[in-house]
Amino acid sequence: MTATAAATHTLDAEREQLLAEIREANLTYLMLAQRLIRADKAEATFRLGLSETAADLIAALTPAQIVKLASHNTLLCRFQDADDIVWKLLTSSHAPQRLVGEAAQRLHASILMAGRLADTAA
Amino acid sequence: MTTATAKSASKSIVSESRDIERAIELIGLGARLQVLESETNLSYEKLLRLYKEVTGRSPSKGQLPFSTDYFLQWQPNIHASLFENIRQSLIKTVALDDIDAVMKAYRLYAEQMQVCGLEPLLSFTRAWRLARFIDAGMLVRTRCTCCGGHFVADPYINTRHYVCGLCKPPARAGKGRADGALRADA
Repeated sequence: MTATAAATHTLDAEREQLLAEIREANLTYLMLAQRLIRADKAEATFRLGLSETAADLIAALTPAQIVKLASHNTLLCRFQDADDIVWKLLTSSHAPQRLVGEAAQRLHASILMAGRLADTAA
Repeated sequence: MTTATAKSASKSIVSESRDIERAIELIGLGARLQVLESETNLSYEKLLRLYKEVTGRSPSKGQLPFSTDYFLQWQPNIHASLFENIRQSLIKTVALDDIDAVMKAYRLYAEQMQVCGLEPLLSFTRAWRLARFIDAGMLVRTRCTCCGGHFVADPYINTRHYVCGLCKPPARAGKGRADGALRADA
């Protein structure tokens, strides 16, 4: 009886810890995003993969709003919608015809991601 | 000559100061004088003085390379495609002046090269030229049928069978010994 209670207790603690970490990540993300957008909006939309409206929205957030937004149980930043091939290129497990250098693979991935960004914006 | 002086006389000081600022930024990125001449309304003499003041040396002489072929070679094509994709994504998300988009895209491109440990093969002037070629329809962005990425290509290419240089590197590609170049065999 006490053993299961202790088990649930540690589980709760773990959960708490995870939530705190998510909150932290959200906070860091939002603050960084805000800094980037305020420094240079156009560049920031590229770096963050956001639309202009989303960028304006984030730039206008007050600190209190940021804290509130950050305390979610989900992460606010998302993996840029990379498909299989980008993923494979980034992890160096894509060998199309013959071996291409690692730098070339990273470049390939960058080209694909930048192109996708241009596509979604269109 | 008379039209040029008349134009500069009627120009506002505010717009001139904006032009000078932009010209300094362009020079900092390594733009040639021809780029400055076409992107600002400043006189040639003023630009020359500005160039010498900023860089401390005379601008390089001669014409700009005028050929779309350069961007179709294996290695330049990869760099050009990356730059162009960045530029397109900027243009499509945010309303920017053409030249601002080129400058911002070039900075992002150079940054990416630095992160990858490669030499930025594309100079600013080349990048600007490329943007001009694309805007004029002399080069286009084509979808690779293998990876789905967009690459700079000749407008007359058969798009149904186009495969990019990274999915199918040509036989001799990346065998050069130059530092900071792409390697196909490493």
